Amino acid sequence: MLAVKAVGLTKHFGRSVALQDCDLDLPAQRVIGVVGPNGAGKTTLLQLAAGLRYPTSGSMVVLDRSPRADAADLLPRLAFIAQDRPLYGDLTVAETLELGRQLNVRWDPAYARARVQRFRIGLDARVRGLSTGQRAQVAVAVALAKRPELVLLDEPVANLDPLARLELLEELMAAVAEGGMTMIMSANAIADIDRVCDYLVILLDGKVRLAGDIEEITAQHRFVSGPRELSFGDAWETVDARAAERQGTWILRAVMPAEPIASNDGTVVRPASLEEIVLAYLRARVEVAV
Amino acid sequence: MTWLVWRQHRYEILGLLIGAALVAVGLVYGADLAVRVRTQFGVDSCNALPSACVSAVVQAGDRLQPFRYLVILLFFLPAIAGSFIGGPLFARDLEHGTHRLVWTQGITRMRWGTAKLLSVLAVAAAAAVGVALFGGRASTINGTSAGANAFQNFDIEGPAFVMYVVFGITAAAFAGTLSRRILPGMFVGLLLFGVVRLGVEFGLRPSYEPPITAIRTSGGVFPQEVIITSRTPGPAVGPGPWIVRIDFIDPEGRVVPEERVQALQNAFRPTAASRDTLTYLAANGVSQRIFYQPPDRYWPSQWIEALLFLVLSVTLGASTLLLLDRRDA
Repeated sequence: MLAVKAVGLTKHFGRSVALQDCDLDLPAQRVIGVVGPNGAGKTTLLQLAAGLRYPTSGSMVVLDRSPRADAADLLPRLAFIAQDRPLYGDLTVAETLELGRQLNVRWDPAYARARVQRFRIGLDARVRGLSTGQRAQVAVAVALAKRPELVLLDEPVANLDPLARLELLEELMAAVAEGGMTMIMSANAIADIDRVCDYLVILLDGKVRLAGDIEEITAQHRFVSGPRELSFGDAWETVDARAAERQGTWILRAVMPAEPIASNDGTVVRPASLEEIVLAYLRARVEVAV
Repeated sequence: MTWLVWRQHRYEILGLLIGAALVAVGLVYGADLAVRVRTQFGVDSCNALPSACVSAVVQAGDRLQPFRYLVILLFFLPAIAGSFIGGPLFARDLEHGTHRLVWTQGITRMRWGTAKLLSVLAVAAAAAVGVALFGGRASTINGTSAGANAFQNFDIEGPAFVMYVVFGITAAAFAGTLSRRILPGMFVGLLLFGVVRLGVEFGLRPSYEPPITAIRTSGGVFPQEVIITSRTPGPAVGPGPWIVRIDFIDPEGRVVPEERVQALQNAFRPTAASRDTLTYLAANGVSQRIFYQPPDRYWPSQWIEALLFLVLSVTLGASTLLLLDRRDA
């Protein structure tokens, strides 16, 4: 089963384009990272999947359901945390968990309480008075206590200090490790994606530039540095090329079974790191734009 | 949802119920006090001495002033309640982004919105009934005579008042949902309520049923007085009519222009023998025609207006829920 399937998914806001003709097959039971520059459409994609927004055209199927037509059926099975981690500031933490219990068919109160207490968050504390990190933990507790099949996280670690960031990612990983859950998170920092995700989607200008298993992606890409007049044949697609006076560096993608590029004097060929690959795809746009 | 509605709207709910109880008690107590004060100062039995009478009325009036303000407040209650409760009802979530929290829990936006709107409206309507039952005490507090306009408490009692409250909240909820902002919701809702409420009062209410016409050829300045005191053989109009319009006609039944009536009135010089303007006008072939609603149409009109506002509320309420459901969050 696919967690998310999008066909020709398009979303416009007035005259601006958030997503244009996106086709996506995101597998279930994976941790999927969505990266892209600000305004690439990451938030829109997640909000469409959560049923908060509706597509301009094209279709989206989430857990075999339409987010709009089958909302009553789908909502109990997915969780969503928006970028600003909305919670009611005037509720206490205990009341926030009660809100989750009241509004969800499936709810694990012991799990929710254990989670917030593990982070030494007082149940009687007002949400308004919590630190950003504690707030994020409460939001995650509400999202996970409904035992969702799919969790959609819009920049879950944004604005968190390094320790809180790590704690939150570990929490999410532990939840995934319990099994049966698909997680889709957007992120700005590639390091976070690299740490927790096993599937990657690169969005650029509202289009899907790359989507696939991270291991396969890294296996497909090469970093090459050498004399600037190097060429690589039809089997390799140049994702990004940067040239200095004599030397050049390339990120290449194998588009068909290819002869390995030989390293020799002055030419270095090695697997590209995830960060290099992502940056190559993102930079490609910048150079076109300039 | 019940828990959430109570937790998030308990101040509004308590405010409505306590406020309504206070207003109702104020009306009952004020009316009771009015009766006692009028007896104490002899307001109703001072016909013999006009100067003593004036002082009695003034003294009684002073004692009752707070309750007269309460009666005036009644006219504005639906607008205030509507704006303050309806305006933020959905706009608070939309403005603060918390709709993205509640709309991704296990229930649909439609269910969430319906539960919120209906529970708040139910409480508000119950509170409004509590006030509307006693709105009629305003007559006692103001010391209106028994034969006065039977429609004078139309705005502050009965089913119409209840539906004003319901409509006020729905209108502001709609405006708040449309604008996604609390303050525009409150303000535009208030404006919408005011325009519709006054438009109906002045545009539609006088003619829920075609007004009855009566021709008067003699009488005092104010038709009601003549009819009530029946000092003169007035037209066959019972006590308590609501006069919705007055014009002047000639013996053929054609409407006489305002200027001609004015000119005749200016030319009229009261004498000891004839002090009555209408008699003078009649002698010149001009009679006054009044359009009025008789008192027995009061409650039917109340129900018609209540139904009208119910239909408006249902329309706006459904539009609000559709907006919540159909629009991007």
